[in-house]
Amino acid sequence: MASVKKTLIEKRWAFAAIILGVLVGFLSAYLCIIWHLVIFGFNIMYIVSPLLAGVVETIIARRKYGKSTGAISALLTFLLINIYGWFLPGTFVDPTKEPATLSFITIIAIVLTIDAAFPIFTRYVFTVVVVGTLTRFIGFLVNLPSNIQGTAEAEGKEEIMGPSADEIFLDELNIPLISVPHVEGGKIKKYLGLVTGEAVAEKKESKGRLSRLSTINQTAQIEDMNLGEARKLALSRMLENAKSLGANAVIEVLIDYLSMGGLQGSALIVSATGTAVIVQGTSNLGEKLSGKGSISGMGEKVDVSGVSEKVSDGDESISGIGEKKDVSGVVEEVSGSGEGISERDEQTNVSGVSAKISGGNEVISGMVEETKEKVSDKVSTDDLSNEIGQVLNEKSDQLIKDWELATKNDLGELERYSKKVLRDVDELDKRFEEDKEHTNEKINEIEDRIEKLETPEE
Amino acid sequence: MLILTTPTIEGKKIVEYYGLVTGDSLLGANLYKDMFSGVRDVVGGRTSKYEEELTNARELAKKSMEEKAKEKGANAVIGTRVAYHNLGGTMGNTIMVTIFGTAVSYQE
Repeated sequence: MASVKKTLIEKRWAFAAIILGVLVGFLSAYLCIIWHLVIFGFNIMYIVSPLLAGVVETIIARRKYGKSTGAISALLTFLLINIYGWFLPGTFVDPTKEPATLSFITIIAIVLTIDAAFPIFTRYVFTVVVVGTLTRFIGFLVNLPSNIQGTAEAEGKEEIMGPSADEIFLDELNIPLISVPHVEGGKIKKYLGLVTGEAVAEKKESKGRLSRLSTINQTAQIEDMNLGEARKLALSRMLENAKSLGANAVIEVLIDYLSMGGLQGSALIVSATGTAVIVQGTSNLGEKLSGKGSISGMGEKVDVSGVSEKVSDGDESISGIGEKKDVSGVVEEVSGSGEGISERDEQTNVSGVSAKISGGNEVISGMVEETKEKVSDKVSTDDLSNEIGQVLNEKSDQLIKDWELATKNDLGELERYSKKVLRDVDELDKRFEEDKEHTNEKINEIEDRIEKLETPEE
Repeated sequence: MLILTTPTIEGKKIVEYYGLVTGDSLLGANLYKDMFSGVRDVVGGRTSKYEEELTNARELAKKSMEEKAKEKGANAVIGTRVAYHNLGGTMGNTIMVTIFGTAVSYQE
């Protein structure tokens, strides 16, 4: 009992404020009625009285109680006045009064009174429901033709996308992203500062509003947001930032998400922050170029393993066809440029790559000599081998150029080119596989002919 | 002024810690902007307005943090974090961008 009494004493001003508010509200309503303050058949007490009650209550509560009491008197006045005005005929205050009737004016007045009593509710209706419905409607009209024509086509296209977008994207980066503050085995030569990037992820609107209408009460799916795209955008903005500072790596990359859009709630901010640095002598970053590791620490699947192995594979098949001089020449050139690489760029530790290349080339030249012996005993397929030699020359020139370019530029460039080379070699591989069959056929043909020629001589 | 997210500076020595420095800025996209961004969405553009505003807000926060660090006599800020907070509102687009870090001075 003592505690109840205590709280009552503590809150006496709050109660006093509410009671005073209600009194002021009713007084104003009474005055409105007896003075006939009517606009277009609608008594202004419906609007004025709750507002007055709320104002008086709030002022008193702030002054004496210290904080707002939440306009309870306004709500009370609003309810009582409306019950009186709408349902009770004028008996005791104003004998001539009739219950209010619905008309355009009264509807607007009702909206205003509701707004005075429940501001948050009306704000929600006007800013979210009305605006949302409007944008939906406009969007529906805009997308109507495409909705009718072919949503099925668009959906079919999405199926054949292959691996998810940001994996490929991260593969093609020439600045490695690292989410830890330390590159092990390497030395950070220079810190360049904070780099950031932001993007807004929204609900996908392209899917067709007709189908969305039917799924209106389903929970959000992860596919509904273009999160991957936004993340990519944020990261690439950050990378642009880093590139403009001249960095060759970004460390401590953090990705953060923040919902925005409030009651509408359909947008996310994706932000990426990191520190741009210049890394020197990163054996780890170098190793990954020579083909041992995956491209970056962000969950790559693809690795560049065995670039040089592929090169040697390609050359094996080449030598198998019966290449005489060109291959070994090329091989020398390649290993030469490989040595060049290691000489020129000792800092960037590409020596692993060049060693691998020259290693591969030794194997190749061995193979070439073997095949040379075999082939030279046989028939001359000079024309054909010249042709092959030309193609090979072109391709390997390109290859050498690529390697040279790569060594001049930074590690990232090298990474990209090595992948390109890999692709080129694969192509070469395929070509020569085709050529091989062709050559074998030709050789057989020529052999047959020679046998025919030889037999009459005997 | 060096602003880093890392807790240390490799190869350099931190000679003095000056304590926490912060910077923040508010980003309020108004109703009209919002309505138009909605229309743009529908027509097919991205809400680049928000992104621009975000960048501006972040730069502002960064600048105010830098100034505070400079006042203390620091030549670097380490352990920097950028945080974005939604301050709500009916449209929920009042966003606060805060940057905080430790002001230090380092020597070679």
